[in-house]
Amino acid sequence: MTAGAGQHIKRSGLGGKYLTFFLAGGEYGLEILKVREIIGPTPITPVPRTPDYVRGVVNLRGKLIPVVDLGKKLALDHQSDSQETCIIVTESRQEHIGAMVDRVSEVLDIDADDIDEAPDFGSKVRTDYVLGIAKSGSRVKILLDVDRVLSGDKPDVQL
Amino acid sequence: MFNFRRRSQENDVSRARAVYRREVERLIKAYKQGRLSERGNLEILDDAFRPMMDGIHEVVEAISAPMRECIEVLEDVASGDLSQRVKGDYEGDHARMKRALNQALESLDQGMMQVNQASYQVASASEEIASGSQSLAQGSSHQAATLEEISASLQEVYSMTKQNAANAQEASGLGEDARGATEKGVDSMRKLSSAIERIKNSADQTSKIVKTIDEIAFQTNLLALNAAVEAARAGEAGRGFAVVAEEVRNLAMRSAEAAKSTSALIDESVSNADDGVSTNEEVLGALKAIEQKVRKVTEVMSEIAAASEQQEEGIEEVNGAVERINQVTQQTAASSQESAATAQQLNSQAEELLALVRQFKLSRVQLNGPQRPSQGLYGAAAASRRSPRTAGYHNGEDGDGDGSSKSDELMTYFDSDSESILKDF
Repeated sequence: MTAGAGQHIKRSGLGGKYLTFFLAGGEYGLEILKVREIIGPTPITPVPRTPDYVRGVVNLRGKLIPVVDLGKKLALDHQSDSQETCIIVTESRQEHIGAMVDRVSEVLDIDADDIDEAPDFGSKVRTDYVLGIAKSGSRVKILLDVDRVLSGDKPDVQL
Repeated sequence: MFNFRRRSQENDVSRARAVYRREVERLIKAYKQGRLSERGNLEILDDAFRPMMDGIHEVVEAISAPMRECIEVLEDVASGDLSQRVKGDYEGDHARMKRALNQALESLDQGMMQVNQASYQVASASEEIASGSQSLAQGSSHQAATLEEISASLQEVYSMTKQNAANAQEASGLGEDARGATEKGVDSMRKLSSAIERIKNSADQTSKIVKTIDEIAFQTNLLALNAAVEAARAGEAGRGFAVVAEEVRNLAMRSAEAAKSTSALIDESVSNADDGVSTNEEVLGALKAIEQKVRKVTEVMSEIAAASEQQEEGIEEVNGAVERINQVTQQTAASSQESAATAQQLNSQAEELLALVRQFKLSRVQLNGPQRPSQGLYGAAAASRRSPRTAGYHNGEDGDGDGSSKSDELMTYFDSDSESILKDF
């Protein structure tokens, strides 16, 4: 845990292993050390009075885990659930939160030299949840900051 | 003187009587011998005996004159002249004789005339018969030739009809074969349909299995990814494990890929099978239509074959009839030729008869010279050839017989008189 925090501080030291996945046609990456496990399609129990990006909770071996529709959370085009829809259980600040993605891809070792900072789209555009953008051949993978994307959801669930 | 004279007178008388008696005796002897032309010599007779001798002469003359005329007439008759008659004016037995002789001559004359007329009629009629028979013979031979042609044509039609019947029979057989083949085709198409259905079912089963494989691949992929996550979390210790997880993941990806392409192939084969089913359906329909059409064709062909056979029989009958007609025609030709020959014989016999009759001179010859009708086989040339001969019997009245103009008239005469003539015969 301490090692992860240290890497986080050093922006130039973003290189390492990432779990890549697809969301609304785009490819994204999460730091591997923030990932607890990946689960396949599982029945999700909806929870009343939650934001629309919260899908509900799942019972993972006796432990309740909130599930967030990552596409909705990131305001991307909605994709209907498929057989390949997976839930990536993340670990952020000792909390486990499930992020629903269209399809998981692979565990990828990305060199620090291949990672750029998120470009500036203007002051009104939030880019603070993006760690950086990895270039892999002609393709681009957006590396997400799990703490920023999902941490804010804990209080909602707790409501 | 007187006495002397008387005595001498008495001598004279006795001498004259003796002369007279001698003369009479000579005459009696001659008359007995039939020399009726003998006459007493009046020169040597005494005047007193002359009237007696004249009386004897008159008696002999009265007896011999009619006899002479009769002899002359009979001599003429003997030379063929039947037109002579005894014309002298006779009385008593002589008149009887004259009448009897004239009547006999008249009968002979009439009879000969009638024979003459009848002969002409026979000659003319036989000529007509000959001409008619000849025409009939010619007509019959024409007919025979035409019949020959008809027979040949019939033979051709017959063989064509036979060919027709055989062809129709063959076509009917072929149609039957085609129907059998079509039925087999329909059967095969049904089998093909069920085979395609089975293929589809198998494909569905395979599809399900592939889906299962795909799911397993997906789960394996997830497991591999989780293993990779665990390996990463294990840090340096999990490095080898990460490699294994990566390999497992690659395998999972490959099997997912294989499942995907298999699935695509199965989908394709299922859609191909569906196409096959619908094509099969179409082919089945077409085959059924073909079968119906072929059945119709077979029926029609059978009808044609039957009709051709009937036609064949009909032609055979016609052929037989033509053959019989031909025989009859041949017979007719032969008979008419015989008839023509017989008529010509009859004609020549009639001519002979006419020639015989022509040896007699008849009284009413103007009726005896009928012109032949200038028709028939001999034509105008024959008529003109005969005219000069017949002209002789016309006593010049009809000249040398313009045959064609007179013939009708004469024929009418013959026709109207023929009955009475025949009755007389």
